[in-house]
Amino acid sequence: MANASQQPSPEQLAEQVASQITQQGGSLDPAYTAFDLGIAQFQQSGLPLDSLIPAGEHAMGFSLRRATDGKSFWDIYGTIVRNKLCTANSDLNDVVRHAVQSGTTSLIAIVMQAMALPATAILIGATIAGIIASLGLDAFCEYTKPADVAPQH
Amino acid sequence: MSLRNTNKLFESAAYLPASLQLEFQAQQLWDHLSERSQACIRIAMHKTQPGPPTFREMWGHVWAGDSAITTDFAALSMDEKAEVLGFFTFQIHELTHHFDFLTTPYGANFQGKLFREYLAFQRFAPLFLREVVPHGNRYRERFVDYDPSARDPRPPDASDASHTSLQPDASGAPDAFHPSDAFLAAWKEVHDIVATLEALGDGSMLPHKQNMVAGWGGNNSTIQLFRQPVHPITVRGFFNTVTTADHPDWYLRPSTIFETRAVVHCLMWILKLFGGDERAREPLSIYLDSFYGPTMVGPDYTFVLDVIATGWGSTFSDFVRTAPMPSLRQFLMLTDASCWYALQAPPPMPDASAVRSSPIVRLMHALRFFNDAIADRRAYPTSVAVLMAMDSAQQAAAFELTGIDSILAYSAGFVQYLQQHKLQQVRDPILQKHFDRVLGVQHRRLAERVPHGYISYSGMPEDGHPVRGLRNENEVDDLAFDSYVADQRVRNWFSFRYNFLYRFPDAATIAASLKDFFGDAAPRVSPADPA
Repeated sequence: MANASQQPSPEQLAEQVASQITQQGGSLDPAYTAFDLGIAQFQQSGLPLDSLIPAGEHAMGFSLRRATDGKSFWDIYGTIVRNKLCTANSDLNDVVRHAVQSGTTSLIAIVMQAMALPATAILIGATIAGIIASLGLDAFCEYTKPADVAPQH
Repeated sequence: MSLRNTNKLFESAAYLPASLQLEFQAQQLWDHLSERSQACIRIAMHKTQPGPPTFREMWGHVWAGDSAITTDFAALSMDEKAEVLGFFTFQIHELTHHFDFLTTPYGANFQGKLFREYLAFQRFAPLFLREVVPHGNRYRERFVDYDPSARDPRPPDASDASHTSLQPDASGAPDAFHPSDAFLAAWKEVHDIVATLEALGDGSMLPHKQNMVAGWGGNNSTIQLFRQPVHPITVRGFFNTVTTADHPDWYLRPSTIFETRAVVHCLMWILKLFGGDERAREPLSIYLDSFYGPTMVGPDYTFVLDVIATGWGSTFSDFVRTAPMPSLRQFLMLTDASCWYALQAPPPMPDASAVRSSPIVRLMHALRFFNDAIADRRAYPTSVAVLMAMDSAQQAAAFELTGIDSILAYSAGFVQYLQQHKLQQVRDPILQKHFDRVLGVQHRRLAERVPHGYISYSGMPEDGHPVRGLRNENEVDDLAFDSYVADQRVRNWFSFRYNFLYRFPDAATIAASLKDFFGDAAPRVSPADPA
């Protein structure tokens, strides 16, 4: 995986993530590393990571936690992506299904639009695209069911 | 089911200060507790009837004198003990937030800003829909960072393919945007309120880095709070606060005060359950380690406790493990009192600057007073006596502090003014009813506090449980969670505004929501109201 000073293009990152997940038998560890890269790039823009995570109204809680790294980010964001993309027979679901066949460039664009990600989060969008490209949409949706958003490896 | 999984359910417990709701899946939590935890809870509640626990069952028993409870609790594993303690305290935590937002001058300031923000959006939204939405695809930022004078602000059309481009600005230079004077005036009115709320921590995250500047008015000197060095920063040009080297992505803010009080109240309740003596030590430590360990939550929950503990050369968790129990109880009471003092920061008053309205300034004054009082071995008969002494301390004038009587009277009058003179401007009857409820409760609670100053049995509850501090039916009617359920439209508004301000909702959602809440008819021209 390239470091921050040698950032891959979004397409390269998505393809790296996809191939490494496949090579590692479905482990999301390569994606967590890629998310770390994407998070670092996004935070360089001056914005906090939490700004990417849609929420309900302002909440205060008994024990609220925040995303701090790639894995904790995906623990939270994976559910949100699933909620957007995995509604069977929705227009978006169909669009993503076709984009998976068309290659990572198209898939990144769809993810960026579907998740309303800002341009500075392009490597995060690319990582999500890599995960979906590797697993396929059906397996991705199965993998990220609410009880198992953080797969154990 | 491990504590880790049960913790995820406790994490889902949330208080929503804008709509005044407690969000929690009670049955789901119960189902996820271990069988041994469930059995211990039943014993502790003396529960004989089916159905949800009553108030008396939940909080009507002291465990220390009941060997059936203490024996059963002692036999649990550490995780099971944490589950049981979490079960009996999470509502105390959220109730503390609820009472603090409805009974304090800072709560009046916060809710008053949400109300004024809504009115400002009512003026601004139709202009945004008319001048920005139809024109293209350049609005791709958080509203809190949006400045129409800085760049082309037009939002993306959901069907516009360029929004999906990997090079989002490759479609060419934006057309010039020429906002009307009415647009700019309405935007400024919204923005000034939004930026203030953001600085106060409403977004639950740091502002954009460009809005945080080291130092206070050019003074970068490190400040000592007890033995903890902290660094001054200024947020959004007005909010003076501090950060630490240990937590560079955080600053001291009102939510720190709210969370400190909530944690303290839960600890005081556990102390009471176990007799207020050595028997409470292990449960207190388990509780802290299980829910508030250093890597588990952000600094808001324990920063103030750890700062005060530096006065004893300790961290708070070590202090809990080693301090004499009377000292621990006094520590908790004085921490609670210091934070209560901070929340008496009023809405902006005409005879003072923003300094008087800062809960952080009041908290820092309280902590330094507290530190000096310990060093000088000054004794005070009650917590309220300490707070009165803080008001008359020599340093108080530099912070523009004024007496609690005038703060409470002003705050009660402030919300009454909004309710009587501004509420009718809200065109949506459902939102109007909500703000009427909020402002009405705040007026009654603050007005009732005026003769009593800092004294509040629910604000500084002796045993940590705010509900046990309620003294009459009117208080129950105003403050019980089940006495008010916000309409779903109210919830939808606060959810939308939170995402619009601090996140990146898609353009179609922005346009549809603004139209739904405010319509797209041109607003009547009226001057911005400074209220």
